Amino acid sequence: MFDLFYIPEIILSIGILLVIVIDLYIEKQKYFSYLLIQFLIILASFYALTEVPTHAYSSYEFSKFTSLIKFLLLVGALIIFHYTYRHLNYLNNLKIEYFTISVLGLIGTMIMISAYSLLMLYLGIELLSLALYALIGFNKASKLSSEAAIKYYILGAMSSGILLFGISLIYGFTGSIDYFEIAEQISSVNNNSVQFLGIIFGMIFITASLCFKFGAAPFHIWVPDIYQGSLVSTTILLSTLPKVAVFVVFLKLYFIPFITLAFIWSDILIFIGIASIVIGSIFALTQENMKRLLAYSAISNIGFIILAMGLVTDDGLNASLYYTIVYSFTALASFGIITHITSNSHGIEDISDLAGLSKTHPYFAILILITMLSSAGIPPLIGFHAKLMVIQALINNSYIILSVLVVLMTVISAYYYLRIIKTIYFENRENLISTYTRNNILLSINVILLLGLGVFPFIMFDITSYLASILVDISI
Amino acid sequence: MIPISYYLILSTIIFTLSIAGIFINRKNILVLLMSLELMFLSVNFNLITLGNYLGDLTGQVFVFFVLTVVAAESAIGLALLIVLFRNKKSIDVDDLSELKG
Amino acid sequence: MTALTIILLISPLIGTLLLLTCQNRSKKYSILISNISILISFLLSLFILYLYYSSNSVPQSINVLTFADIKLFSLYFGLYIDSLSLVMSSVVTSVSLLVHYYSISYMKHDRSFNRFFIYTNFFTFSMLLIVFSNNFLQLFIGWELVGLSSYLLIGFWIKKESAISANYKAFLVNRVGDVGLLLGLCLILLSYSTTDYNQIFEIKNSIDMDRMDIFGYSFSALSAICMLLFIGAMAKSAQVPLQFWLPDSMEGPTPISALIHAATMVTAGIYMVARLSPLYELTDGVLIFILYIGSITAFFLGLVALVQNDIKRIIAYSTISQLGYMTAALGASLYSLAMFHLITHAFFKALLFLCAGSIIIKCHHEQDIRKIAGLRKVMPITYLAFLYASLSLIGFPLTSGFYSKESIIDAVGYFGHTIPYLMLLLSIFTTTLYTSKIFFKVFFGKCSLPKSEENNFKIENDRQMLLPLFVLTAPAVFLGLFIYDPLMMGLLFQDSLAANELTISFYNNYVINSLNFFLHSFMTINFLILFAGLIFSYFYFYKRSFDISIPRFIRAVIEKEYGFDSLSRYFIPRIQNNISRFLWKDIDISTIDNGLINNTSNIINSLSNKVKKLQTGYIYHYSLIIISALILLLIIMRIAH
Repeated sequence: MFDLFYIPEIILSIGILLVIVIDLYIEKQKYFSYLLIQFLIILASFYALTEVPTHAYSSYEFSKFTSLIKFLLLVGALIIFHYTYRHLNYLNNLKIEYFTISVLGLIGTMIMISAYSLLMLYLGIELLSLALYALIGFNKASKLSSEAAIKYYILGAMSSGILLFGISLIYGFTGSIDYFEIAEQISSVNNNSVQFLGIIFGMIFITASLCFKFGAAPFHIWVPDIYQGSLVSTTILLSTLPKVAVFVVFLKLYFIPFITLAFIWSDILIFIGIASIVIGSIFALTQENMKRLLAYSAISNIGFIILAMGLVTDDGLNASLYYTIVYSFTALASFGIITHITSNSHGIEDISDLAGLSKTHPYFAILILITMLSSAGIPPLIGFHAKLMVIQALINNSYIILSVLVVLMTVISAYYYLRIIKTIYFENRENLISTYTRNNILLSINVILLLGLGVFPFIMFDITSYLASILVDISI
Repeated sequence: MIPISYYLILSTIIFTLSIAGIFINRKNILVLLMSLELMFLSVNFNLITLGNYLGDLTGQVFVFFVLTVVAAESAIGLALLIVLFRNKKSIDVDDLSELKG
Repeated sequence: MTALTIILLISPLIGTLLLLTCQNRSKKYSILISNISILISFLLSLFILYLYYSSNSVPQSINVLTFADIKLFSLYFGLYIDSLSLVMSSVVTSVSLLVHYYSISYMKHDRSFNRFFIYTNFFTFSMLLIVFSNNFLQLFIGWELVGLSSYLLIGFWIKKESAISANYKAFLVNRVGDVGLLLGLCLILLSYSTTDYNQIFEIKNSIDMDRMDIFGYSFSALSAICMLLFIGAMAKSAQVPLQFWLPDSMEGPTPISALIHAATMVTAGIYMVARLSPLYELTDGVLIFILYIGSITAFFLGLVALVQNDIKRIIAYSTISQLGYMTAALGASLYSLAMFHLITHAFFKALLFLCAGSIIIKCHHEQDIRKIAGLRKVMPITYLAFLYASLSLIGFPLTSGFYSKESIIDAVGYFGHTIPYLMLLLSIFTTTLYTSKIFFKVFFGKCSLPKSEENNFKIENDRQMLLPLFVLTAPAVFLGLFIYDPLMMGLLFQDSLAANELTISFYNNYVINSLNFFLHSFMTINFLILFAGLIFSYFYFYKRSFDISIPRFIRAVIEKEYGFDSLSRYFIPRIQNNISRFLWKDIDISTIDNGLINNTSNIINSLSNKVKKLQTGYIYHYSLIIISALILLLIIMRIAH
């Protein structure tokens, strides 16, 4: 008999409430509370891996796939918190609430992943969004931070409204909010009826809202502003955990309830993917702000993921899974490095803040070099394989013109990644660059993985094809 | 008996109005928050009508969840608004354009 | 045996790596490491050679390490252990060892002492890589690496203008050959889909029939492969018309000339053709071409040596001419004779160069033989060593050079290649002349050294420089006598070389045995020519009893190396400059850089700057964009549906 108490969501929820209470009494010893939270996450990730029930409760699903993704998310959160604690500590802005709120958002992502009905999906997304609103506005003294928070709040609430409207339409025209029942209903609907039109409208509303959460063009408009306005530690969170969760939601929604509508959403996703790649690459070219630039780079990466998904084929699915994992790794590394560096006793803002890094901190310069080369898709690194898989899938499905366009955009995007490298290695400016550590093992491992998995790409191929195979298991 | 489509059209009109409220309003962020509330109400209206029409309780239950979440959301929104006002001494929508480009 | 061979091969590499790490340490470390690593290789070569013959082993090809294995082909590091590679490696390592030892003294005042040994050790490794390779890719890698080390060593004195241009020239000429080699490699991959020697030898007959069509011409694939590979060999072994880099390469230190540009690297081309003899045996046309190239090189480049005055350049032209003999032997399918001459030549030419080095050091880096004279009394050891080496070079009976060279000439004549035979015959005369020219001018006459040094017999040179001369004299003079019979009977190289039966029939019908060949030689025209040459040069160079004025025109033609000199100094650089300038200014800068690249990037940049303004920062714009995007999606749905 499977014990409900041991599922990671419950452990985290109860644990984090305890931490909030404990933290009230030992307010001074923040490190202890931090360790407690990290312990909670390790515990949760342990149970995420060990307990793999194949039982699907109505509206909530446990499967190998969700457990593995949850495990990945928890490990990611562990690393992010590690970076965040030191970063905030260094900026004298350490509050344990930051971590408790993050954990709540993490629970939100896990609910999104396991959701098997539209209600659970909504609740998961809202839990995540509420946490993110607070995290973005966390830097209370900063004008930019509060501006970013209010912007994200209004636009996010609006997208929630759109999501809800779409859900209500789907509910109204299929009579259910359960994924499986919706799938059955849709397959029995006549293609020319009003009911069908209503369902498609609902689906497109939901798509729009999810694309907003994903940060895909043309719903990307909030991404650069919010990345720029918030702390780096929030940006690293924003650019990894929610993306993976939304990606899984995309997969589950499109491949379970909406699978029979593939002939419609495939075109839409391809459009969104291409738009994201183009906009992400072109807008990033002239950016001066580091976080803004990485935000646009994130948009174009998201474009690759959505584009591959929109192909509705096995290789497309594989490619999108692969790309998501690679993207999370790369984002974790690139933002992780930035959390370690301060320039002129502020966090890194402009690219020029990094000038001369190679002279003072060659270790970090090398890390950024590898990460940026991987993002640009230079062969021995893993970013190359990810891009290659997407383009290969495109060619296999005879989207030749699109693949040429994608390659061109990749070339353009290489420019701004290389610009960062150029700034670091070839420009000299008197920046008071300092770091709070000479090196970081986690960071090094992360970056070495970019290189190592790129040299031996088959490890990742195996993982993603395994993930894809167990995803298919649940959809049948 | 009023046909179901009337209810749906009404809720759609309210939804559209609330969205229009978001991008036509150029004065005050509070008004934006009000528009958002209106948006959620239109959706709730939609859900209740459809639930009633289908003879299914799910819609009504959903509305309770939405109401709760929206209440929490508004609380956060107002808190963020206070922080913003402290920093900028203004809650004009037009003043919110430092992040751009 | 495999394990030992691996150690033999990588010992110089390890030496190189160790030398790199202690580059800034004292000279002692360099001397110790470099000499010991080569010594290990040398001893192992001899030991494995002994093992090989004593255990009657058969040739074996072993793949040691796989680099990459894809459907099309495999790239691996392998060893081909047979009599040919073992003999060659013994020659390479022995000469290399002596040159290393010699260099300790020769280079002792040089500031880049340690760098020199890094390069030479690395060269030895690269050369061994070629010798032991069992596939074409490894051969190519080794080929490029010896090219690289040769480049580095020719330009070893980086501040010397002429050295820089010489290594540049050597590098470029070798590129021409590399193109041939690389194309041959591609063609091999294309038609055999393997690079392994043995596999290619096995299926050579089936492929022999394959014909290829390029631009409407049909030709045999195998001939094309052999031809292209021979172009590579021509550049490396300095055959006409790719010979003009070798004399210039004498700008490097003299021990390098002995090691690389006489004994080992330049013979890599000969070795490769011999190694691939089963393939070349099937291509008659290519063999004829090789024969003529070889004999032309032997005769005409020997003539050029006559008009030179730089001691090292004369020996360099002599090397080219001797390489011509080897090539001619290859062309006449006398592979074992070519290898034989390669071996003997390696020793006596290395000895000549080392003697030259000794002379140059004694004369304070004076290389012009018109300014050196009368060293016989001052440098008795060098004098004797030079004498023996010269006798071997001109093929004086009983010396090593006699057995290898006369056999080639006689065998070429015996098999009825009349024109090459005549050319090879005539170049005996020129060989005798230019060798005597150095010999008489340098060692006889009034001593050119200052009085203070003239009678200082005790310090002829450092002992480290004289010992290699002693040691090398033995193989330079007597090696031929010892291995002549087994070699000619096909016992030395056994099955490693193709067409052994030609050599054997020549031996049985013409030579009979080494003693007979020696006695018989006094009655041949070869000896007559040699004798005439000696008499002539005795009176001309030593007694100076008469003077011949060569017509200025002919002299100019020969001095200019039949136009190759001006070709390489003037025409090719000019044409290349013009083409490069055109490509640089008109194509690269104005069309590609400014026209395509900069314009595109400018357009995209300005586009980026413009569209950036869409991101206004106002919430109402953002929400409008999101709503319009939603409506756009609905429209796309409408169109798609």
